[in-house]
Amino acid sequence: MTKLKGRRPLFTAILLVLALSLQACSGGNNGGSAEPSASSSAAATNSTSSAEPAGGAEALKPYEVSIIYFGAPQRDDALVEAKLSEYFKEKFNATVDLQPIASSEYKQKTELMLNAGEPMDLVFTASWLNFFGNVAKGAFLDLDDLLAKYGQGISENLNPIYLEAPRYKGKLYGIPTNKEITQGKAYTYRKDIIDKYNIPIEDIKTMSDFEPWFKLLKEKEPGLILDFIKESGEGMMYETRSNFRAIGPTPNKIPLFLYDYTNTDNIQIKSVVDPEISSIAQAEYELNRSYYEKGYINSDAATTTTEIGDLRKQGKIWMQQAVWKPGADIELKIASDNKYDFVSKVIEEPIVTTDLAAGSMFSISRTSKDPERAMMVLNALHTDPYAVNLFVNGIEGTHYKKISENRIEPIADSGYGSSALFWVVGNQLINYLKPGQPDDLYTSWKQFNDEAKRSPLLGFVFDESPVKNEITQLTSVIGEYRAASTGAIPDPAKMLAERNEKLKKAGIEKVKTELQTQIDAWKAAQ
Amino acid sequence: MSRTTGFSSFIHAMWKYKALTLMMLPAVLVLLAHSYLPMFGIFIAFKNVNYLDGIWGSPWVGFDNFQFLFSSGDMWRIVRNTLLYSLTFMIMNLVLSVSIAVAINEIRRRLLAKVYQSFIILPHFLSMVVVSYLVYAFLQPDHGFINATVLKAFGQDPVFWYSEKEYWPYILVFVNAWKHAGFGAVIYIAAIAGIDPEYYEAALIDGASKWKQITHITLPFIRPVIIIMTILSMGSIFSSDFGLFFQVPMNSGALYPVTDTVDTYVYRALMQLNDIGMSSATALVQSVVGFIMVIATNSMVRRIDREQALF
Repeated sequence: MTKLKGRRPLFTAILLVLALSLQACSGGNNGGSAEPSASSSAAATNSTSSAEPAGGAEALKPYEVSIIYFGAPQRDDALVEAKLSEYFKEKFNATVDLQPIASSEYKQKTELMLNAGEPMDLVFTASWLNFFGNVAKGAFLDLDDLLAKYGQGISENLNPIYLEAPRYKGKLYGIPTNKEITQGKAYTYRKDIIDKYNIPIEDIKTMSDFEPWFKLLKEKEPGLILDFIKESGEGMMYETRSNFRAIGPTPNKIPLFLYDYTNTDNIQIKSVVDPEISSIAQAEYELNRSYYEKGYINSDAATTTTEIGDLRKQGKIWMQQAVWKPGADIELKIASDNKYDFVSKVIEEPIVTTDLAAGSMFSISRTSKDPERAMMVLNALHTDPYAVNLFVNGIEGTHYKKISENRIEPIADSGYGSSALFWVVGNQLINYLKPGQPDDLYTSWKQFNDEAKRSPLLGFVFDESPVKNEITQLTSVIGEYRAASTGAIPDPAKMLAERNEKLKKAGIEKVKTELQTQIDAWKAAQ
Repeated sequence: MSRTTGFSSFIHAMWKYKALTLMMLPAVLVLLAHSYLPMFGIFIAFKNVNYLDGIWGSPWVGFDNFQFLFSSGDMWRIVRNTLLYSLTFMIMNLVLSVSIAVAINEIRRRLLAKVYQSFIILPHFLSMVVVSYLVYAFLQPDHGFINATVLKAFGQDPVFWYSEKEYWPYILVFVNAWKHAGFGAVIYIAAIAGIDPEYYEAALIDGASKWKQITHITLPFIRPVIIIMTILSMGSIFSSDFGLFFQVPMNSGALYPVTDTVDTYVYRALMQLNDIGMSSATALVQSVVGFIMVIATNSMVRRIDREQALF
């Protein structure tokens, strides 16, 4: 009797323990990138063993180069990885380990990997992924020598301005992807609406010029959201109303400091609390408020998380403030399922800034065990059409059909090629063209890159560490008042004044002085 | 001498109740791995971490990492929000959980009691992101239920909920109670189930009303549980439910004066910087405040009634 009594609870206890530990295991598996990377590296080792040593690369020991990049994992990643490995194995005895990370978690995940000191070779990075902050913390290797030795193909292809940007204290830490080097800004319209109402887009240069057209379309096209605003950013108010451009930290995409880009010799930094700057902001904020009250702006502007692209596909957007480069209108058409044609009026001439030129790059992690080989792989992705197209578009016949020398037709639902890797990897100018892209796309980009105007601050990078405390506080003040620009908040002028008062208290002047000092020092060193 | 016997008797007890020990094991392991192991990382709060030197080699910076937290102009607002919400939630949830437990206990039909209980617990398992969209369905300015149906029916002007801060303290307290009160009640229901029914029978014979039974039997019996739960929740007084304060108000800037707590402030301020030293510093401050609060509450309880204190 006593025995029985003792045993039953023990049995239940064991069951419970088992159940709990099982649960813990399954929980652990769900939450990480462990699965895709594990399976892909397994595939990689398989391919290494199957493809036995080929000629041409005996001198080099076999090495697996891991590539961490910005893109959603795809079904056939392992296939492409095996193909790439096979190819690189022959060339320089290297295999690759592809580790795609989805855009929404890219920044967080890579920074965690960097913090943990995980071994990695090529890492996709960009100015908007805190590249310079990570460089300052010593995340990446200095690439000048490696580039000179193993990356000659890269330097031959790349517009030299590119390599001026990703530098920290004079040393190169990133290799930009070769594409359009900068972007202008434009009002982009749906062509059918423009044609229907004969809207003279050449005459619309600021948001104020939209007033009569908003009024007309509000009556005639009630289904449209006339001016879609999301809470982050302030639109193009500085670009349309002044020569001021942003420099330094831009929390919530709202610039704190600006400079006049036409004045190349004597660069004076102004902060957003400067009367000249804040009067621009106030005019735009109040205009948005009046548009909001008239119902031209979406009523949930202060909180919406809807992507403008989704609304555009539903046919609710007729105008948007957009970035522009040659072929942008066609790109937008493809992104909107080919439903509408678009036409743009360029508002801002494209200027090359540090942030834009460093907008898409690969760096070599300081944890790389063979940086030379990593640079060789990167060099191949910049120079070898076979390698880069395999990476971006997949395998011919399986993932796309080749139509002509440099034009392809993707196969729908083929398991690869739907992630937009063209702007991420290597050299876009040797990517195959896709349906809708004009034949001269890449020549016009080359011309665009050659003609782009340099910002007088190209190559300058603000080192935030001396004013870290101030910047965290400025960031939270900006965050609190960021919806004031959307029009959804009553009395924007009062909000703006309140915000500026708080920014002053949070130390905006101190950061400004630091920024100006660093710029002067940088200028003097040039 | 007495200590060794204490320890050996502890081991003896562990062995004697090995079934219970085994049942406790997973929880203890999880606690060790999640709460004790990371404590070694406390030193990160005093370092300026960079990748080159790693966590161990990075330079010591003393209390520099704590500076941003205390030099913030919004410090007062953040601390006030965090503490007041925590206290309000504690009191609200306590009152509601105990009331629910007592009410469910009074339901004679056991099946119905189970059904009610399940429905009340359900919100606890919803993610805050889901909850935030449920709230959004009510409060959306154009076609949210409140503006488009309720206020319209009464001929009132629509309210732009996500930019008017005065309503949010109530909304947040309501959402929190809706989400957590039911789950809190489970513990009290269990405690009530443990009360010997003879007390109620005796009370019934003496002609005590339902209300008298509740105030004189049920509540005194579950008092120790109430006290333990309160002491424990004191530990998290300086932390806040991030999802509740970040997701539910849709991170709307205009609402920060009433929704900004320590956790949301730190998240927003440090998202850009990726500075693990500064984040660790904040977590350390929160833990220290929580620790002090637990000790203080316990000693207060001990002063009033020695028997009821947790330790």
